[in-house]
Amino acid sequence: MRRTTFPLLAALSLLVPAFSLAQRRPVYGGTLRVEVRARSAAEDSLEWSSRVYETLVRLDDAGRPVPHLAVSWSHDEQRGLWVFQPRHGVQLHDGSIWTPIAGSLVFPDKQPLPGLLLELARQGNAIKVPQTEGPPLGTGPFRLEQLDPGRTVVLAAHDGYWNGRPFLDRVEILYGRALRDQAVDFELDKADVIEIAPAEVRRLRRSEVSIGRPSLLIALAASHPVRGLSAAIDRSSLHAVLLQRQGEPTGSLLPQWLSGIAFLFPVIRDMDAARAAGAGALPWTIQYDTHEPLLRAIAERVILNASEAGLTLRPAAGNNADLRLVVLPISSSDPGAALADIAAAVNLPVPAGDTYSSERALLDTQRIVPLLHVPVLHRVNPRVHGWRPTSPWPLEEIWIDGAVTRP
Amino acid sequence: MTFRTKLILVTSLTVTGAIALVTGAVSAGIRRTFESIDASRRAAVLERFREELAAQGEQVVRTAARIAAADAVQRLAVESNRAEPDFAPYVSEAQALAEAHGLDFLDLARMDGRIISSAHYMARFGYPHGWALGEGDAPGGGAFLTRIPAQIAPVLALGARHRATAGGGKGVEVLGGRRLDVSFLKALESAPGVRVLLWRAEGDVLNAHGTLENPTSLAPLIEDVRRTHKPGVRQVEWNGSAAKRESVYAQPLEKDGALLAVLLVATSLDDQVRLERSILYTGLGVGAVGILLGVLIGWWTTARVTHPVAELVRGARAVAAGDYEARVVALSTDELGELARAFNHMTAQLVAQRDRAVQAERVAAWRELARRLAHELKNPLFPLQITVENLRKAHQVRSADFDEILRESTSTLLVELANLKSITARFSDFAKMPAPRFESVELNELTRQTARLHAPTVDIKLDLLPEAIRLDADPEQLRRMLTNLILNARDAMPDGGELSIATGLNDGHARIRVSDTGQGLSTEECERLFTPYYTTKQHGTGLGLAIVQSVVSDHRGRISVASEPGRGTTFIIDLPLKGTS
Repeated sequence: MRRTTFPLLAALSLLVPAFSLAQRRPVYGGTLRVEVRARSAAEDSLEWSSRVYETLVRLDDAGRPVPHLAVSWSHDEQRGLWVFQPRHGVQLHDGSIWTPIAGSLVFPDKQPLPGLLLELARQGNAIKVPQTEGPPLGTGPFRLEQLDPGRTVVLAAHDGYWNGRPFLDRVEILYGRALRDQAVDFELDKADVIEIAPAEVRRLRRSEVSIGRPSLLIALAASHPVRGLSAAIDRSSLHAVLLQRQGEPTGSLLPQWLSGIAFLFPVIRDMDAARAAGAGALPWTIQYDTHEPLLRAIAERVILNASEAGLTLRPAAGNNADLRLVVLPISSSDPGAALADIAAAVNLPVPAGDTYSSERALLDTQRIVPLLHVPVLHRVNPRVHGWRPTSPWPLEEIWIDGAVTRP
Repeated sequence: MTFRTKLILVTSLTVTGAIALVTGAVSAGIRRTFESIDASRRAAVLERFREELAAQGEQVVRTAARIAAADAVQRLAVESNRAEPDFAPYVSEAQALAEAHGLDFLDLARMDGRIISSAHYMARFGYPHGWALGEGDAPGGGAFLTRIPAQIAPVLALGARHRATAGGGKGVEVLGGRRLDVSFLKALESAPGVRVLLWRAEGDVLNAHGTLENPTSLAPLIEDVRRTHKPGVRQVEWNGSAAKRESVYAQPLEKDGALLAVLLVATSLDDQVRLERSILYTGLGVGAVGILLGVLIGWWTTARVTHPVAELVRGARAVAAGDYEARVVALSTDELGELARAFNHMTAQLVAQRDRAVQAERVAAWRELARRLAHELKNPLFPLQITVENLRKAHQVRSADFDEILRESTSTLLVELANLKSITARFSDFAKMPAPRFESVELNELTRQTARLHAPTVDIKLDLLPEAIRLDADPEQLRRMLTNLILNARDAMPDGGELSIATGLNDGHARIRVSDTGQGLSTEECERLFTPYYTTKQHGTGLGLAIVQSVVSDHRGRISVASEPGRGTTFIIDLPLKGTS
């Protein structure tokens, strides 16, 4: 007996690594189910639209433009044009080949190339081919199968994607789900990726939590200058308690990792300065999402802080409030573009100049009061691999354990 | 106003007054009874409030104790004993604990009072809790009323305080509360017609169904209580309708001298109002019936009283009019009957006295007549006697002048006999004045004719009514009457004067006025003027005015005289236009 057992065990031991290796390899198939609190689903959603509609140029993690649908570009001095060469063989979602008119894409050379490249990298300039019926056709790894505004988005894998079919068959994104409902769905295995509140981070296993870079700006946007308010707010308490030390308190619009100069905008609370600056101010109204517990708590805390400085803030419904508590995504790895998006979101013109000057000028209008830079926190099912806390989501890299490709 | 009307009024007023008094007394009694019932109900509600408050307070106290013993709080207590405690991870603990234990409010706070986690106002972490600071709010004590800071405004609640300690003696405070709201009030209402309301310092008023929409009617009462911090009672009309009136009792709910809320117990006055109205309407109805009865009873009563009186009045008037045979029927044996019998007796006495007076007057008249007769007869008789004696004497003496004496004597005798004859004729005339023969007479024409007859002897001024005056009368007697008056007036003005005759109408009578400007008469003379044979003249039978009176009497008229010595005399005769033949 002893003589046959040992070889058997040896043979078995060889199988185990093979078996483990098999589990680690990406597999095709499956449906990724994502739930978010955001209420609107639109074609230009940052999280997934770039995986449906691609741009000629894309920014890498360092914020440098790299070729994407345009493989190269050159300057035609004679015609005064920037000429971009399209990538060949790129299939649209209906299987047809994307062919720009005249074979190349040209732009006047009045704009310097770096700025042009940044512009072309913006999602708003993605390639969309309109159809008579249904959503426009794109070239991304996923096609838009279903868009139910404010409710559901379903993306289906584009089998003919020029960079290789994604692993996932489908991505289902459910919008407007409260955190509690998302948690219940996750426990019942009805969702694979959900958002979590900062307070949940400590409670969960690290392997389940996905914490990205601070990519959201929580700020107060005002319809008129609100003197003294910024100095009255205790950002440290907001960060330490409400955010459970996730993200960072901030006095700047751009996070430190993006601009590198966030530290130049102080976050120290100065009640004397707040009282002096805000003396005689009339009561202001503040509007915020009362269904979102974290935002509600932040807004209520701001109201309390302001009252200590003699500033009266009253909650208001509707869109005509003096102040709005907003959550603005850091939409680009380019500081200028990100700053422009923030300014546009709060109806302010983008000042000219370098990043610091622009940001300083925006803050000096006293119509935007940055509070916190927060990361998006996700809880990810261990079966999901490849998830990274980036914006947009790396959907083409994600695969699911035990998934089976649909026929 | 007649006696009957007065009596009816008095009876009716008496009945009405009695009913009004009874109605008022009954209403007052009912009001007092309802007030007493209200007070009992109110006391019951207040007692139930105290019991409910105590029961719920006990629950809150136990819940706070349970929460203090919960693992999460114990962990917090342990954390508080660290050198540098980090309470940030516990900011959401209170919400879960509050939900699990059914509390509306929960603050987990440090020993220094700063909030670690607030279930109802999450943003207040780090701030002092500020709602359990009174002497009665010590940890482990009983429940207390308080106003808990909330986002919009402080909220009235029942709070309790407990402490959780661990290890080194430090710990955390558990401050739990349950709001006093609609559900609390619902538990207090049990009796129909009783409502429990709660005014809160936020300015709203709750009832068992929610917020009262229009609490302005309560404003004066609330203001009183706020000012005095003492209970008060007022009647409140809702929506200005008397039908929706309530008696509202206000009990201030205070803590450490501050007014937190006012408990209002409203008892419906519907029943009382309805009952009072019913009593009022019944009173009015009974009053109306009473008045009617009063009128009827008064009518019947007064009839029994006033009828005999009226009979007496009628009898008295009849007697005054000369009907001495008028009698009053005495139907009862009471005072009125006695009065009637007394009247009849009086009338009989009057008749007897009148008869005696008449008899006496007759006797006097006969005496006067006898005197006058004697006086009148004496004058002619004396010459008769002298003449006969002279004649006898002359015969006796065989006087040569006997034939002359016989002639003279016979002449004298004839004259005096004629005089006697005249005297007797006048007496006979007066004694046998015929009954009047009535016919239609035009007075003005008759007066003119009579005046014309006497025109040669006296100047008569006529002042006759322009319209003809027709009356039923005996023209001959009227002429005689006028003649006597004219002669009388002429005799009263021996030195001349003015004699006037006027005719007119007076209340269904023809009026004749005969005036002179003669000597006039004294009052005594006026009284005796119409007595037969009474005269103020030196000569005459004194029958002229008696005849005038007789004529007037036969015509059922009236005669009166107005005179003043030295100014003249006026005779006024009223004769009915319609004859009484």
